Amino acid sequence: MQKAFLFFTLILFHNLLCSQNKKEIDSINNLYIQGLNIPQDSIISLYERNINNAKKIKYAEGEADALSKISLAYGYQGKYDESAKYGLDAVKLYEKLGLSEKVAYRYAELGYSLKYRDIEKASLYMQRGKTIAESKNNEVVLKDIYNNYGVIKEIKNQLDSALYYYNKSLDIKQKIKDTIGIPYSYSNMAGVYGIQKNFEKAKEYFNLALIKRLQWKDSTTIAENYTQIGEVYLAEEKFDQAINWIHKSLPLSKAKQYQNLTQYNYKLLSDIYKTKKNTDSALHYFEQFSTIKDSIHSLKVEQSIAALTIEYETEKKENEILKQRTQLAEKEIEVKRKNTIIYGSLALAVLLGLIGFLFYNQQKLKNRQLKKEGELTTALAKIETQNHLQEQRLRISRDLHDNIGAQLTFIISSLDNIKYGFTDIGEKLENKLTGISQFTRQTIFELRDTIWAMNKNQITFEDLQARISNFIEQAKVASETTSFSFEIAAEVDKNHLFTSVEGMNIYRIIQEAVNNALKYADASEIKTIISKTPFKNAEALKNDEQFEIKVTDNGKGFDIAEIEMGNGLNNMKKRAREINGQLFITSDLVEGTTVSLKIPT
Amino acid sequence: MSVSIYIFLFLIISISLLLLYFKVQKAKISADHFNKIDGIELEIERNKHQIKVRGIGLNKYNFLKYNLDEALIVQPEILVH
Repeated sequence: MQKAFLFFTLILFHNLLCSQNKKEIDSINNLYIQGLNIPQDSIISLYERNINNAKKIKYAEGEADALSKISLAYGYQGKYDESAKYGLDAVKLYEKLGLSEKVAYRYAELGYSLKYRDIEKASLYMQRGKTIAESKNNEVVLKDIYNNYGVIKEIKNQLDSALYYYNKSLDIKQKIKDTIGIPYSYSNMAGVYGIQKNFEKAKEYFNLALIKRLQWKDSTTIAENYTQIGEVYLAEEKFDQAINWIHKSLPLSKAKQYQNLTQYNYKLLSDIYKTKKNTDSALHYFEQFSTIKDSIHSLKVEQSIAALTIEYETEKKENEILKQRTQLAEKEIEVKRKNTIIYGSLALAVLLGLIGFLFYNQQKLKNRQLKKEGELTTALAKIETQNHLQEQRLRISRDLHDNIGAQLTFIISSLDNIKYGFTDIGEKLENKLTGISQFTRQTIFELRDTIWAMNKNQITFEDLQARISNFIEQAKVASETTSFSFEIAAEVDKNHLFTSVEGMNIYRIIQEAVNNALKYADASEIKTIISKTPFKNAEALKNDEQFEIKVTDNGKGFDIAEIEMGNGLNNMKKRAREINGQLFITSDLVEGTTVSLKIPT
Repeated sequence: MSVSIYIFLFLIISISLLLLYFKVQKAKISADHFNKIDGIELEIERNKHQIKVRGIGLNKYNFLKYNLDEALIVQPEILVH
């Protein structure tokens, strides 16, 4: 994913740079070089740099456009060989790129520029341009190519061909409504008709051109048209009509200060009157012609001086302006470069910051997740170990119970069989066997209790309370003449947890105490009370609390000093010790017996 | 000016791509994490349930009846080794 992102970024950056350079190259190529007030050599070196720049970014169209511009610049310098060389290089590139419109234009331009130096080559290039434009049916290009091709044909004195192409150009111009181009086509055609001595047609087409020009009120071209019609009449030797048309042209050419045409008109009039042997008029118009000629000459000199002065001043100013512009442009480029560096650095900083922030967040999330996973894995390991240990313990207990329990049951059964199978055993032995049987039975019960306590970790106070209540209820059923009560003091915490050994031993002590009261005391009332009492903890040297469980009866008591402790009492003491408790037995012959068990909380 | 716009566009596109990339990564990491967590929690629940079943069995032990057979419930699906 990251590699793809890097690749995409590089491609994007490269494209941005290329498109920027292309724009610069195109903007230079689109300059109107005829209007540039810088030396031609500078123009050529400018476009050579453009060619190199275009080559660097492999921008072939830009390179071809720059070649075309150099060709044009050399053409203006009169270096036609260089112009042709660069023009042909441009054509090759355009052809390679498949830009047929530009190829056609380039060929046509080459041909037209060569028309007075090498008419055959000019004709060849023009034909190539024409063929390409025709294959693409590009009428906008074709109208100019046909017109220029007509000019080539006219120079080659192929007048019918010239007329054919002028006509074709005219058709397209009419079709696309090129109102400026149409009268030029008419004039070209009229010129050819004039050369062919088809004066009627020549006049017709000059008139058509004239009508169009009259519509625009273009005095200059109208004056030219009048003179041209006059020339046709002159060729027909219709002198009066020729004079009329030339007189129509004169005021317009004078008004427009079109000196060359005015001079030409005077010359024509002088020649006509000379032919007509009207020497006065001929002399008059020749004088006019000479005056204009002189004035044109002096005017031309003045104009030349003025033009040179203006040109010098203009060039000087333009150079200064150009210098300032260059400085400004350089400064602007420098500012732009600095801005680009600043913006780029900022963008980079933002990106790096963002990447850092996102990585930090991702890492933080991962750490949080790992911590949680770690906690849960630990918890799982703990609970799994606990579960497996408990299950293992339970299975061992089960085996213990099944095996030893079965063996003890077998012993009981065997003792019973001995007792009942042998009728001649003495009373002493029978009592002994009965004792062993009861002991074994007690062992089974204790084994079961131990196994249970081993598997059960804790017993709640409420559970123990419920079990003691259940026992008391059963005792009530067993002895209806005795009243039983079971009380728990308010200060006792009902949520206290006993270990299973504690719970079982407390229960068994209560059970033994109640059974003894029922069996030996002949009591009418037996009370079981659980409470909390203060307890001096010797080790911690502080006051603590302890549970006190009392089983009290109101029956016959006994003298503790005289009576021998039986199994039941010894068992109770043993159980009390097991749970780190103390057992106190107090008895009075009249008031009854109290068994008190105290265990720390 | 145009270069600034290009830089701005480049920045916007880069930021968008970065955010998208990290969002996808985050979703992937979270999905993996939650899968793992779910698996562990399921295991914990299974163990808890087994302990609970054992506890229910042991609570059935009656101190008067000594019914240890009913209290010791073996769960054969637990592999103790």
